[in-house]
Amino acid sequence: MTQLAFVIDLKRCIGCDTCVVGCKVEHRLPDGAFRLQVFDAERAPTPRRPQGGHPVASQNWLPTMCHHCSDAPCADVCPTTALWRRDEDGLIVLDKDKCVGCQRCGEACPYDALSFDAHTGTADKCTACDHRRDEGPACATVCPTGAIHFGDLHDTDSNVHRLLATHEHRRLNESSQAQSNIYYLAP
Amino acid sequence: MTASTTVPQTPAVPRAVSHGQAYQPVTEVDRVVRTVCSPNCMGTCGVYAHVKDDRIVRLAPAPFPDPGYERICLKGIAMATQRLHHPDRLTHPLIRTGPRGSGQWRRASWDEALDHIAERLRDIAQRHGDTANSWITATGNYGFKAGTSTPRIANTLGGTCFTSMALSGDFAGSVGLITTLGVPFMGNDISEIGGARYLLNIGRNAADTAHSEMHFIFDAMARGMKFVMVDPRWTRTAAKADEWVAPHPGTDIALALGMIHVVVRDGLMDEPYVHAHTNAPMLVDTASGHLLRERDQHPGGGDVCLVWDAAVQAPRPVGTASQPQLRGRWQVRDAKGVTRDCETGFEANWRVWSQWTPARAEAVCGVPAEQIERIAREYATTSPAWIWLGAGPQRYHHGHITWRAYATLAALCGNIGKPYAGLSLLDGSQIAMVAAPPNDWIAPGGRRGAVLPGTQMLDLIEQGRPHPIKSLWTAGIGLASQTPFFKRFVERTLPHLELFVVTEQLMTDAARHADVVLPCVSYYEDDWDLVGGGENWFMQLRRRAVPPVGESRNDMDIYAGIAERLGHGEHWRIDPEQSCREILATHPDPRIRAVDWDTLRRDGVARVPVPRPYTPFQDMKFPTPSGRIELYQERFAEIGEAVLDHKGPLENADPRHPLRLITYKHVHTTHSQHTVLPVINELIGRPRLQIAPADAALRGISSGDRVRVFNDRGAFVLPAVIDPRARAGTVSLPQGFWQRHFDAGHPSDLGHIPDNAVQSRVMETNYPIWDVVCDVRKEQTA
Repeated sequence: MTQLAFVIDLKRCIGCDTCVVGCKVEHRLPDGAFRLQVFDAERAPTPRRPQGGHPVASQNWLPTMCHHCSDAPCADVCPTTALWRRDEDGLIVLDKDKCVGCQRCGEACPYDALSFDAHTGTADKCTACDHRRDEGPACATVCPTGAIHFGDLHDTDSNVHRLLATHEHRRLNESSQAQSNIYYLAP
Repeated sequence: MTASTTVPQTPAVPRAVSHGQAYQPVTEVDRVVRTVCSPNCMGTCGVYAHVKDDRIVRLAPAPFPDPGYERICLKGIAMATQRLHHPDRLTHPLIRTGPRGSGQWRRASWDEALDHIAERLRDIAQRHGDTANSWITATGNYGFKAGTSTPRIANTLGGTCFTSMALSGDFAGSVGLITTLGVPFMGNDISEIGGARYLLNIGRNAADTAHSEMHFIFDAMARGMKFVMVDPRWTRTAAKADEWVAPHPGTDIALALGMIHVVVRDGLMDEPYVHAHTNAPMLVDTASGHLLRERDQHPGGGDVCLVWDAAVQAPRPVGTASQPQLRGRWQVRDAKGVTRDCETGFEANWRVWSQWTPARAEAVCGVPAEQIERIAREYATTSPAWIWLGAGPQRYHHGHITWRAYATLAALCGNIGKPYAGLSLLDGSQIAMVAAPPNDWIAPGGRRGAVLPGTQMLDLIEQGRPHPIKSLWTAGIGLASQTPFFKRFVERTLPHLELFVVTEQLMTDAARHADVVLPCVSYYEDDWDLVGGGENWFMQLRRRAVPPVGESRNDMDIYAGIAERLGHGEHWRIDPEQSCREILATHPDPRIRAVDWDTLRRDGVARVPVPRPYTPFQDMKFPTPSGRIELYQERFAEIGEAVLDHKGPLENADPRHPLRLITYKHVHTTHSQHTVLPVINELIGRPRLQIAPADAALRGISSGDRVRVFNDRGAFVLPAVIDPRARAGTVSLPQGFWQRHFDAGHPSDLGHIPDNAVQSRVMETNYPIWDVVCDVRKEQTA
C-alpha cells in the first residue's frame, strides 16, 4: 500500500516563501490565491509565533498545504463526493467539477488548508502536483534549502521513510485524529 | 509614431499579471532553456526556463557539476514569470515631450532615439569636451558584457564613468581589506564550509540575502559546525544560528576588540604565525608613528623594515634576526645619532587593545562580557574557524575599520591562508572577471575616458568640476531607490544636465525624470553573455529563453548604435558568441583563461579551475607594502589609524534624533528589482517601519499608524508595525522599495556621505547608509 506524504525539515526552513511562489506559478493561481503558505510572525494565523523579544528570541517557519489526511474530515463532510482519498497513493483528491461551493470542507479541515475561489466559490487546494508525479511537487523542487521532501511513507527505501526513521518529528493538531500526512522534523 | 503618450503612475500594488489559465498547470512546454538568473544577490543560479508561447511558465534548477549549486529561489521565479511581461514593461524608446518628470512622452523608433541622443552627445562633446558626457552603471545585471558595456562606451567615446561601488555602500569594507591584506575582496568557497568547525558570521544575513547558500551551512551544522551569528537585528539567519550575538548597531569594532583582547590576554594568539606573516614585529618610531627602516639606522640603508633581535639586543632588518621580538620598547640610535623611542607594531596596537577588556567592550557594544569571552575562546581554539563578513557592519562612517578588525582577529589566530578558515566575504569568478577585464575589451582602441567617484556625482555635476558634465546616461542601476539624494538629484542636479538618458526595463522613478528612456532586455531575452559566480567558481552562459519583449535591446546593441553614429562603430561590431570565447581566451586572470569553452558552450556551465579547498593567501603572500598582513598601518599614522582602535558611528542618538535608522536587505527582493512584482507584493505588501514597543509607546504609535521618519536632511512616511524583537532605539524597514511605496519621501533622502580620510585616501569615501539617526512621529490623519 502506498501513502504519499510530505516531510518538512523545520531546521532547514528559513521561511523564504520560495515554495509559496513556486506553487503559485506552477498552478497559475490568481492574485490572492495560495495553496501553500508559510506561517510566521508577520502573518496570521500563526501556528507557531516567534517566541520572546529582543535580545532573546527564537523563530521557526512552518510551510503548510493540504495535509492529505489518512482520515480526512473534508472528504467525510463533502456532500457531493468532490473530495475523496485515493486508494492507490493516499492523496486527497478534489474534483472541482463536482464541487458546489458549500465550504463545509473548509469548516471541517483542522489545518485551514482549503481556499475558495473569490468568484465561483469553488474549493481549491494542494494537489501534491499530481500532474508531475515523476518530478515531485514544485514546492519540493524549488526549495533552496532542501527542506521539503515528498514520497511514499511505506517504502522503506524512500527519503521520507528514512528521515522519519532517523529524526524526531511531529504532526500538527494530532488531536483532530485526521492523521495528517505532513510530518515536521523538529527545528 | 508621433502621438503623445502619457505613462500613468502605477499604483503601489500593481495590476494582476496574466498567468494564463488560472489553476491549470502547464504540462507541455515548447522548450526548456538553460540560462542564468543573475541579479546582484550573487547566487548566479543556473536555471531551466520552461517556455510556452514565448512566456516563461516555470523555473527549475539547472544541473551543475556540483549538485549543491542546483537551486533557485522565490525572487528568481518571480522575476522570470512576472517581471518580463509586467504591465509596466517598457517596450519601445520614449522621448520626453513635456517638462521633465511630467510623464509626457512620445514613442520613438530606435533610429530616432539613437539619432536624438547621438546628436546631443556630439554637441555636448564639441562644446565642453568628450568628458562632459557621463555614464553610471551598477549591479543590475551580472552578465559580463552587459555589466561592462557602460564603462566600455564611456571609454570608447572618451567620456566620464562614475563609480558605483561606494555609492552602493559596499566599499568601506574593501578599504579595510586593502589596507590590511592588500586586496579588496577575498573569500572561501561556501560549498566547502563543511570543512569548518566554527562559523563566526559578522552581519552576513545569509538566510535573507544568500538563501541559496544556506543549505551548505545546514549541512555543515549537521556535521557539527557551530554557527554564531552577530547581527544587531533579529533575522532569519539569527533564527537559524546556534547562537545570536546582538551588538548595538555600528559597534562591531568594539566587539572585535573585546575578542582580540581575550585572545592575546589568554595566550591564544598564534605567535609563530604573527611573527612570520604580519608586520606586527616591525619597529615603530613612537614619536612619528612611522616604521623604522635600514636607512634610519645607517646612511645608505635601504627601505627594509627593522625588527628587534633579542640575540644581539639591536635592530636587524626583518628576516635576518635570529630572535625577533613581538613585544617590547627600546631606544634606538638612528643614523644621525639621535636616540629614538621605538616599539613593535604589536606593542603599539596592544597599548590600545589592552584597554579593550570584555567589560569595556560590553559597555560600548552591549554584548555581555561573558559572551565576548566565550566566543573569543571558542573562535581561537576551534579549528578550522571561518569568519563570514557581511556588508552591513561596514555601512557606517568608519566601516573600513570593522573589516580590518575581523581581519586582525583572524590573523592573530593564524587563520588567514588556512583552509576552511580565514575571512569570507565576496569572491568568485564574477569578481575575477570584472575586476580586471581584458584591456582590449574595456578600452577598445586603447582609449580610456575619465573615472570619477560616484559618491560625489551630484556635487561634481553641480559644480562642474573637475570638468563640466552635461549629460548622464544610467544603465543597470536603480538611481532613485538604491542611491542617496534622488530628491536632490531631481531638484538641483538635473537642471545642470542637458541630457539624461535611462536604460531600463520598467518605468522606474529615475526613468520618469529622463529625457530619453531606452527599453532594455531582461537576461531571459538576452543571448550569449558570460556570467561568473557571485560567490562560486563556475562560469555560466546566458542564452535566450524568450524573444525580446517589445522592441527592447540589450546594452551592447544600444551602445553599438551610439558608437556607429559617433564614428566608433568598428569597436562595437561584435559577434555575440565569438566575443564570449575571446573574452575568456584573452582574460588577464589565468583562472578565467582556463575555463573550457567547449564545456561551457555544451553544458551552459563549466568549472573555473581553482585549487580545492579554495583558500585565499595559502601562499602567504600579501600584496601590501610589507608583503605581510598589516596589523600596523603606518600610512595612516597622521589620521590616527596606524593601530586598530574602535571608532563608533558618526551620528549618534541626540535629543532631536533619538533613533537609529536601518534599511535592511531581505529575502523578498534583490535591491529594487522585485518589489514591484505582484507575487512579491502579495507576500510582503508595502514597507512598514519596524519599531520597538517602548519607542512606539513613547510616541503614541500603534501598529498600522502612518508615521513620519525624519532628520535634518529628509523625511518619509509609511505605516508602522510594533515589533517585539526590534531593538529599542533602532527603527528599521526593508529596503528596495520605490517612491510609490511610500506615502511621501524616500529613505534615501535621509542619508549623507561625510568625507572619511582613510577611505578617500585609498580611493573613495563609502556611502554609510546606516550611519543615520532620525526621529519618528505619528502622522495626523486627515
